[in-house]
Amino acid sequence: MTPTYRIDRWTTSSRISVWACALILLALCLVPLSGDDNLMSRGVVLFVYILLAATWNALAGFAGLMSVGQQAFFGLGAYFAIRLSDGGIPVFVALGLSSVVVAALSWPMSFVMLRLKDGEFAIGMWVLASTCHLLVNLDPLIQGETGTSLIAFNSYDPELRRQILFLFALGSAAVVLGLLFWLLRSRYGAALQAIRDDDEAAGSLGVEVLKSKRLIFVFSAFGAAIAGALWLGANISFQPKSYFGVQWTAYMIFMVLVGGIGTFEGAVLGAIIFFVIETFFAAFGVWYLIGLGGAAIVFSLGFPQGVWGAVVQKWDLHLLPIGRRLTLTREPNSTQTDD
Amino acid sequence: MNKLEIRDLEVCHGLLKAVRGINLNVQAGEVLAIVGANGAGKSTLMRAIAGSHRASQGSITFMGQTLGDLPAHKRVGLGLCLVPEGRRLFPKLTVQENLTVGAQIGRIGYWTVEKIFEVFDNLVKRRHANADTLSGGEQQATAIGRALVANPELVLLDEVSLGLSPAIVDRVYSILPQLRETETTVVLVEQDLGRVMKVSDRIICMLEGRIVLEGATKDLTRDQIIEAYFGLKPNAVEGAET
Amino acid sequence: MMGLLLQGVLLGGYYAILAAGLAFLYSVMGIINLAHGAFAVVAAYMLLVLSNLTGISPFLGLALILPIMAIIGVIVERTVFEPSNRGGPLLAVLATFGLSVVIDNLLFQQFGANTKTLANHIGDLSWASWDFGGGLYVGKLSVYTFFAAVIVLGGLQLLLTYAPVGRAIRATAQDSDTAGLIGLDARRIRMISAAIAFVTIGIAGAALGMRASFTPYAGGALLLFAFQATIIGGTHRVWGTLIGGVILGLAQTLGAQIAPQGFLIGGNLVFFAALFIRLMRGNLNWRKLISYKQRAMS
Repeated sequence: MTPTYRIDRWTTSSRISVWACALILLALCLVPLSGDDNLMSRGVVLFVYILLAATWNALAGFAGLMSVGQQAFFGLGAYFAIRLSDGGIPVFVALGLSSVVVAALSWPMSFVMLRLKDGEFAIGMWVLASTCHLLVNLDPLIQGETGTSLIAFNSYDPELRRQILFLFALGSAAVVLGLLFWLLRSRYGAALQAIRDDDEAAGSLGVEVLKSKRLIFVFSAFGAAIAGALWLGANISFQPKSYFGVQWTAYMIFMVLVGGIGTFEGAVLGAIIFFVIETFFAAFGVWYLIGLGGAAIVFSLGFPQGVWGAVVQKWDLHLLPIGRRLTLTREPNSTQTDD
Repeated sequence: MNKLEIRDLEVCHGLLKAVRGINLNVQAGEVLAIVGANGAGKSTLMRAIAGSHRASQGSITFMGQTLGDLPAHKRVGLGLCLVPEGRRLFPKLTVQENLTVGAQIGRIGYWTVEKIFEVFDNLVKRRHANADTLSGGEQQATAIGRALVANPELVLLDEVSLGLSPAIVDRVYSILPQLRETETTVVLVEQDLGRVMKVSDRIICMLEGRIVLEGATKDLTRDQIIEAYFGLKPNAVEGAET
Repeated sequence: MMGLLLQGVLLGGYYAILAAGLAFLYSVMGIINLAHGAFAVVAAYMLLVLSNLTGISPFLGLALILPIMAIIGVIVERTVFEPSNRGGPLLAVLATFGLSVVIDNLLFQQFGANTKTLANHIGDLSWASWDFGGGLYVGKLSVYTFFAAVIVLGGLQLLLTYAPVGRAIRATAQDSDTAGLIGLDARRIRMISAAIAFVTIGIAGAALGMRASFTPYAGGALLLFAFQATIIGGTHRVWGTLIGGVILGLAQTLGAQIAPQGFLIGGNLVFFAALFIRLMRGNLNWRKLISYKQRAMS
């Protein structure tokens, strides 16, 4: 007896959630009309976290590349925004363009870095970040650790500036998430799923795997760079130490581990959780950081599927269809998911 | 006296039951051969006895002691050694180091590292060569030596002749008389039926995880074993129906 | 110039001590310990507290601290390395990174941001030097550090080659399943390996505290130096770590001559050059050479 089955990319819940995403996006577009400055600036912070979590998750959760050096691209994104703006490019164009420059730079870097495996890659990226930090400090414009600020921003009316920045951050987060969604559903995504399941077996896919890893590497550099540029837009001042600090990676790891590594929804959820925790507990300073580190240990050792992983396990809920669902139509009780 | 007693043993590979409902006694000092087609569960049974594969049901008793979930390294301490399929030497350790590390468990007896070099004198000139540079026969001799230096009461030999030329296999099996002399009990898995008939006291044949034939070697005919091996009923050998 | 080169080589000795534990754990257990630097800082603080409380010399203090480091190693192995290793090498990266964040901040909480040093507990050793004439001065402490590196690495080499426990460690690293089949307790051997690695981290912490000042957050930079030395050494031999350390030390010392920031940049550039050479030579993975697992040898 051969069971009849159906392969679905879309389920009812995923159709609903895509419409819900569209509605949320639309609603968020209206936020600037409120004129609430605090709401808008906190919004930018949240979008930065979502960008960081989603792109680190793409790297770690989907391509199996644990980077401890994404602050390299975060810092470079901010740096090139200042550089380009100083070179006479309109400031918002500079903020957008810097991430493209960083993505272009990350491509040659990937050839060397992707040679490293596992833990070697992790620390190797950290060395890369420290090197970028040192090289940026050499630029006289930055004035070493003293830093500088995005002077051109001051020519805008603060109200207008905040509104544009909010929409820019919202748009970036939406575009990057959309791109990631599309990427994971493409043939590259399929190759990456194969790596995650079994690196050795995926090796037979050879070139495709390396190409997919490179694509994700460049993509997450791009995302982290946008986040860096946005952070600069929100804070205006640029001190290399705070942009190239490893604490950014600590945040990313926390968000993705808690949310659920390797799930599209988990990273976003993790960013929101982190945003809330930061809002209430950041004042605790050192203990707050100890808590973040401790959570990373606890989640990685005891709870590696994260909050969203638990949700999926418990309710078999898939909001955004990255994989394909195989439904046996003959036996309605035994549904299998393939993702 | 039974050296090894197996009761209702069941071992799973994931969802697949590789060994089901095995009952077996191994007497002290005997040479027991296990035959069977590929996938009959022979190696899984060996690994379950050695403790490198967990049994899902049943019990294994070695010299009166129930093994339960005792890890492999503790079974070695009791005198139960497996020479695994595929040799599994430590590739970047020399021959001598492979043997010495095997003796580290500290069971004193007939076998010493030097004794192994005496018996397998072809290893002497490869003493300081890394294991991954050895020929198949040299590797197998080292693997057997590595188990013997622990002076086991019971040694499990899993497919020691695999991939070796007949002359080399002769050499590997030349160790058996000395094992009998030292009253070491041997359980071996072997594909070569002729060899099995020659060296063993007793034979069991496995099919799809079960024992389908058991008997003293001198009481069994080659045809009987072959029938059991392929799961053919005696009267259906030439029949069209199954 | 001569003095400069000598200075770079001796600095390399310090990096080699720093890298020894990292490289050892990686090669025998497959774990990259991102909290490596943080633990060296912990050892330095322990020595400082001990010296402050009792007034004994840090050299004597080591006799007490090293066993404590070994115990910490066993605890970390049982609570972090072992559980994370079961989930794959990537989880170990995350867990040890989390651990480093916790340690850094706990140290900050306890000791504050001020820089500390052991230099004032070791008498004149922190500034004493030999005069070789012609303006060539060599600091005694850095020479001792270099010899300590030779002793630590040589000790590891001897241990792995000749000691029964060293053979067991290598056998388990190469094939832990089979190691069990010949009576080796892989769990116990992993604990011993972790203890050994943490003892070398303790020595590195002493070297750190005596030669310079340190802060609670120094661990990250130490990890990077140790890692760079390990990768540059790029070999399956224990001595590769010393060579890697020396190359790193030379690159930093010479880089510092060009510009103040050149110290770190020089080291990083050599690191990437070493990676690039590896890329050109094909994927020559030193870890594979020392401890590659082989399912079946036929």
